[in-house]
Amino acid sequence: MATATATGPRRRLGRLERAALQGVLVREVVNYSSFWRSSTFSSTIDPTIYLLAFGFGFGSLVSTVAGYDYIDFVGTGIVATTVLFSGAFPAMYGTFVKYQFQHTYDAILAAPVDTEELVTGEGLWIAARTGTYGCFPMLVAVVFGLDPSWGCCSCRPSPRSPASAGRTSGSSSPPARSRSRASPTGRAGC
Amino acid sequence: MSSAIRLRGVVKRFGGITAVDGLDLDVPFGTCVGLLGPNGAGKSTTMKALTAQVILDEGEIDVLGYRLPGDSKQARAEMGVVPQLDNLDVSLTVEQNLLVFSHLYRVPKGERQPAVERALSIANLHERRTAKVDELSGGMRRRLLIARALLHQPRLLLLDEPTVGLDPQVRQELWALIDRLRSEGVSILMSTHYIEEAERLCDQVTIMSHGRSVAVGPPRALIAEHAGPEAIEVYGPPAKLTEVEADARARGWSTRRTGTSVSILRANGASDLDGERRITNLEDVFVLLTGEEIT
Repeated sequence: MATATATGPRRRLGRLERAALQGVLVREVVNYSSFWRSSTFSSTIDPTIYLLAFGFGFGSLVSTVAGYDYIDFVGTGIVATTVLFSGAFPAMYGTFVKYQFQHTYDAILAAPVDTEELVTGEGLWIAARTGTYGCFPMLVAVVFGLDPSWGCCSCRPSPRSPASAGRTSGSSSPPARSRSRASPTGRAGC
Repeated sequence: MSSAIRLRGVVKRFGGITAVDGLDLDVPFGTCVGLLGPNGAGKSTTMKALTAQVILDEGEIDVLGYRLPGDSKQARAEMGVVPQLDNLDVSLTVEQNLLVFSHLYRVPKGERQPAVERALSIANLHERRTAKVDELSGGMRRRLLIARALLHQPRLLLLDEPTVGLDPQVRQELWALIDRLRSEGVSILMSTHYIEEAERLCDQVTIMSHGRSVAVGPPRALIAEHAGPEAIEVYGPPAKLTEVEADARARGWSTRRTGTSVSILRANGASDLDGERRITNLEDVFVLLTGEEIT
């Protein structure tokens, strides 16, 4: 009876189904719509304050670091820490709370969603959100004088961005720097 | 006719503890089956095994003709689950909660809004649709939780302690809802430790103790079989109760303590006993079979 139907040929559902991923992502997007203001505020204001502090503060003392222009060094570094923190916190605390206290994952896994789809969906969402938040400090750094070339995004171990390639290595003085680039950090150095 | 749920020889161990110990269970299509048992009898583990959130050590489970755990996703697509612990998204509104789960339960695009509206009527929450879940009362949250499980019009509904912690009015309201669903042909498996709930709602009851099923049958048949038609309830000081108990046992009757009194069962209306006569109920059966001691 029941066993006869259970052993009959049936459609195997795929490992990562679009409908399941979409369900997980829709949940995240709808949830995000209820707290995007506070989350976006902290994720953009935080790195901006860092940029200002390191830019005006340290920027008046340091012009280059290990052969990199200081703004390239600080700008890309802040982008990296923003991505790190805005990714690590939802991934660690957010998922733990949903797993342990809110039992959200119990609810999702009782629907036709498998664990690998849940993990993939949550990962995709955190990656998308984090990538977007990483753009804010980058834009601020561009305003501060970060050269918006692909070089500032790449991980190549080239010691110089194209804009600073013409200058002599490592020893450019603050006055020379503020002439070549009208950046707030440069002015602060005067 | 095959069963909506069929369990055979199910065993689940957690370390040294055997939570479910060789359980057999059937839920025929279109019926409401109650899983009764004291705390720790293995009810919740059994419920979790039905959604493959607990993987068995031994035994087999078929749900709606799908063999678990391999085909559990297909089974989950056709059933609704109401968990014991409230797991609604508290920062979302009633409507948003339902909308999210209409996606998770794969309701087709054009049918999502009608499904949400239907769920709102089931939960009777049309006026509170824009309220955040945080602002709802316990009863409303529970109704929403049940309505959320019904978005995709499942053929089978799992209810894990659906009315725990609710006041009597809300409980009765939920009973009416569950009864309506059953009359519409939804198969229901409900775990509970409120005996009255099982007695009123269930066509069949399985009483569990220590991970096994100790009695199966319709509530009235179980009462007739294990408790007889009438109970005599004797009140008095503890010393007298102990005396009455010993006397009844000596005459081959069953007894159970009911806090301040002793209920004597299967005495067949013995006229020499001085006490209140009352109709037996499922609670008598439950205590007789699962034991009086709290372990």
